[in-house]
Amino acid sequence: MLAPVARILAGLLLFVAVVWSQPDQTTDLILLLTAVLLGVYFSGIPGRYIWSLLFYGVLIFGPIFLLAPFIHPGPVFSASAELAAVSESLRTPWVIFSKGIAGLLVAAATVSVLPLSDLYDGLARLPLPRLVVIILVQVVHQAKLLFDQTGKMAQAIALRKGSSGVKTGLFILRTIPSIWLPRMLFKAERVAAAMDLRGYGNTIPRFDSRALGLLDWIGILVTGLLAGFIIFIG
Amino acid sequence: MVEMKEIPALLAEGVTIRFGDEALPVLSNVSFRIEQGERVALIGLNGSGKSTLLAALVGLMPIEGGRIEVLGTPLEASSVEDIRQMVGFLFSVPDDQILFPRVIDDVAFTLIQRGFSPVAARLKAQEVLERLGVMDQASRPPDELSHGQRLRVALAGAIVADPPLLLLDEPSSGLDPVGRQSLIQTLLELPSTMLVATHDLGFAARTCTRYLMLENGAIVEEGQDFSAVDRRWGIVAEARQ
Repeated sequence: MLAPVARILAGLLLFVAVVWSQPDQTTDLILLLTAVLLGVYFSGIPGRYIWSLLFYGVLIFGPIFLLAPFIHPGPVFSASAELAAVSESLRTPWVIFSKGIAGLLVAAATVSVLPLSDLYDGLARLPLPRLVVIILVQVVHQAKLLFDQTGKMAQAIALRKGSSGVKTGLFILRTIPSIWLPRMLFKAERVAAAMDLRGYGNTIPRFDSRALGLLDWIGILVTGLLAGFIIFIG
Repeated sequence: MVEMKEIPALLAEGVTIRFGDEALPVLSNVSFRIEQGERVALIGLNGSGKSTLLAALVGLMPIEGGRIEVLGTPLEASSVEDIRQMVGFLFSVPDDQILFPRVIDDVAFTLIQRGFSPVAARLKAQEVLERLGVMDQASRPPDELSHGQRLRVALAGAIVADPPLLLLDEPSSGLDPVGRQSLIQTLLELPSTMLVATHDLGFAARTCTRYLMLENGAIVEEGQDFSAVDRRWGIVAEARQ
């Protein structure tokens, strides 16, 4: 597996490649598949994650094909022209679908198996604006704690209401503005005070000072070449 | 020449704090003096103003009146950063002050802020985590720790730079008896001046040499006989019934 900073960089380059590609052309489709395979390989994401991602990807982007019948390329006068028209109406949904799934796989492969501490190490070594790094890392870090607290709060509400199931779920959702939101605001205030007191944000300390290895450089180089090539032929 | 020892570690004179436009102040005319090396308990029931006072002492809460001095430095906008460098602070909710996704990084951060190299900071952070019995959690994300472990990690971040003054807000809350005993031992071994906000009388009596008692935002009593507080609270409890 690549070092955190190399994984983030490689993931970003692959994402650029995915966004730039035009998968309605054979060359770009092959390059897109290459980008996905590289992303999956360099991240070391487990196989079961990939199948779940593919499932959710199809669920999210699949319905775009329902729009195909409404895309009319123009009047059709022969059977061959009709085939071309069908192919043309499928073109745009296909581009969105394939880029969507590829983007999802590449992005998830980059961050899903990256522990937050590695994400911090990677971001801290990149030449990014300080504010971006501290906000991004803190948002993810606090989100994990909030998720935990929200779960406990939901349990407490369910318990005090003495019920369970969908009705309780809907009740919990309804209480978000009155119970959850004020608590989160108070928490945000307290965290901001702690940040202020501890001097968080004045600097971005780099805890990981290991040098990049050969595989890290190969990863960055290969993904960089791929992204560059897709941009060049596009 | 004024000797260093004569400068109080903490001095508050007539400190008054009010939230917004509320008629009654949260803290009213609070004055006290804590000498260097002293361990003082700030005792009070829930809502008496303990946390507000601690926050005010490091400039996290604006004061309406009075003045605060930390180791001879008056608390002002221009000096607040210097003062914070001299203070180790433990919040009542440890989650709020753990800002990094790996325990050891969070503790080391305090030292890096004070000019240590990352390697030296990690070594010192390891020592403190070891002393507090959480070294085995050093590489873990804080959200996977228990409340007691998080509290010790937050305390490690507060004491790692050997600050001359420690402000601790409810340090014993939620600890099991063994954790509580070990915390008392740790605090007794620290050379820092301490102001410990708590309503845990047993903890206060074993950790501190005297107390300041807050009630409805004012200091109503101070002394060394902690059993006097117990008696006073007994009277309050009876009156409530």
